[in-house]
Amino acid sequence: MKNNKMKLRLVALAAASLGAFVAAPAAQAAATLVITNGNAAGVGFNDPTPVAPVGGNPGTTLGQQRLNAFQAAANIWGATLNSTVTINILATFEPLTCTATGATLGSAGATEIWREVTGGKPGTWYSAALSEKLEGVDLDPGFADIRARFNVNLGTASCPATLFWYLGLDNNHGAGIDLVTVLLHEFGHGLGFQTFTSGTTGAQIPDGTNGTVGYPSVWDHFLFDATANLHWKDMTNAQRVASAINTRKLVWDGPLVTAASPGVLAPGVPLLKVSGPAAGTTAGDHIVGRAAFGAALSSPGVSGDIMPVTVNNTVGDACVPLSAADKLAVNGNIALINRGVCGFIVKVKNAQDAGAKAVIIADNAAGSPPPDLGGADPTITIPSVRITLADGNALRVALLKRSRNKSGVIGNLTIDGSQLNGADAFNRVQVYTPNPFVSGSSVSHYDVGAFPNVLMEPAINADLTHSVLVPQDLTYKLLQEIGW
Amino acid sequence: MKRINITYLATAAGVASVLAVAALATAGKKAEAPPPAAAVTAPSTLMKFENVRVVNATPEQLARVAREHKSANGLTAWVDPASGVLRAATPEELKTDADAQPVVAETAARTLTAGNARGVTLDESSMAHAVVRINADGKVEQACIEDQPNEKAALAKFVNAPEVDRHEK
Repeated sequence: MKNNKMKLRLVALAAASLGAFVAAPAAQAAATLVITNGNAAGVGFNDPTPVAPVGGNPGTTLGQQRLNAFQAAANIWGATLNSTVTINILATFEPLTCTATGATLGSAGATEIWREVTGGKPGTWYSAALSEKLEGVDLDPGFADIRARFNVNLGTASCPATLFWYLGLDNNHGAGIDLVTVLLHEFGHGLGFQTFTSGTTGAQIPDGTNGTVGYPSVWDHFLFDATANLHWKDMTNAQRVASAINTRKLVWDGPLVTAASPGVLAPGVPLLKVSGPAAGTTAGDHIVGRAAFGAALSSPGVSGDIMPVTVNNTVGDACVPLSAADKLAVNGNIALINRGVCGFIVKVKNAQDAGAKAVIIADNAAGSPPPDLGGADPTITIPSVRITLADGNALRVALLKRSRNKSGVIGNLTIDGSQLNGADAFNRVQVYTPNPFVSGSSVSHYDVGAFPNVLMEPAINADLTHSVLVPQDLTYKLLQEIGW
Repeated sequence: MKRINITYLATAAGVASVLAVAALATAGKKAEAPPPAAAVTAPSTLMKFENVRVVNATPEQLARVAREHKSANGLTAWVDPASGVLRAATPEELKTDADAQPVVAETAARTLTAGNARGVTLDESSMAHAVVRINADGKVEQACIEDQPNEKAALAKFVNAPEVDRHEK
């Protein structure tokens, strides 16, 4: 579903993004970024291998094209930010880790953090570049503010040969990995789009002058847990650890981003609403993953008794045509089916053939938010969604006391048109809090529920533009919020 | 399966790069000196942008980059025993390797002062790591990983994690 919308969005924004790129280095120069080429002669940025110009990048050597792409990304930030102090980036293209099916594309981040900065919040860490913007001076002359290094081996035989950097500047990357987009994202972190507080331990960074006492990042002043009703700066380490996995309940509550979110994010959040006399503790709204097949969710949506399909861990739930008892159960109702063994489209088609009006797939692995359902089958006409394992287990408990074709647990697969994708009911943008703490991605990103996609989600999506501004993006708004 | 650690090779390359730049600087002062075989990209040959400048690293900065290579974990290469050719690691090998190596900061943290401001330097564990993998269905998935000791650990975390966008089951 999201992929289909990506394509529409790409078409709609392609001209605008190209125009924005061309116009980016406008007369309103606001900050200067200096890229220091840290490679040795003959390698990386100095690779003399001849190449043909590509996508608006006129470089005739590999090294030139890499540097031009770095410049293009840095220039977008330079045209956006305001600072009288030069932002220094020490950059290299060098060998980074590869496997047969994966690679590190690159790493970037602030080299230093500062507190007690003029114009900043007391006792609060700021990235080096932002600290210097606030102070109006270079706090550590001779040292870069941001370190950036990117993988020189991508696309070689032992570093997924099918993957390659797209060094064009026009975002027309096709199957390539758009270096400019990746740089915009990673430079964003280096400029301050991150907390320096660990989401794994909850620990803040000390400065060595006061034992192990740590200080919050400016980020932590705006990171608000709607369950604990606290900002991260006011939490204990244990509370922060819990908050980092409080899926879609941790939001950015700064006024600038909140006010801008309706101009970027689209309304229409998919939900499973549960009610009815037997709903018990399952009553309420549940987050869902959408299906790439079948009827799209709508409002008021599809409602009916939720009825479980018999669990079969050998053949798989609904992996074969349903039994007579299961047919009686799901006919005219919403089928609850466990994930596993066969594909989603097989399960949903079998339920549809048995007369189900909709399907809920309960995940068989812990984790939240539930991912979307993939697959394609044009003969499927009913809607379906995925819920978490925890929600599925709770529903099955509520469904224990049911008749053969009624449960008293009423499901409603719907769209909440009043809520923005990627924000809460108050338009506060959600930050990424997967449970469990997946893949090391952290609260230093917007949530993956954001739609249209935005630059600072943990997944770098193929439909991103090269803009960091409203109405395409919310990155600069957040940087403004913390002091840029 | 034979593994070799090429930390020293990387360090040697870094030192060589410093020497190469020093040699270039010396060569520039001698009119009769032949042009170097491998040069650095001249900023004057690059595109011009309103808000960006490119400069080449000073010898001190190059030495700093070389020290990063020396103190970082180093790169481990895997060699096919039959052919003797370098090959890519499997995700399992990568995880084992990342788990086995101690966390080593690129540089020791420095405490900084400037007026009333107080600062500290950060190591690789504070960096954001862009990673990519090819899933079983051929789909390319990118992600940004943080809160990891280094880029190798970030990649190991990502390639060994369940596929987020599970299309079939």
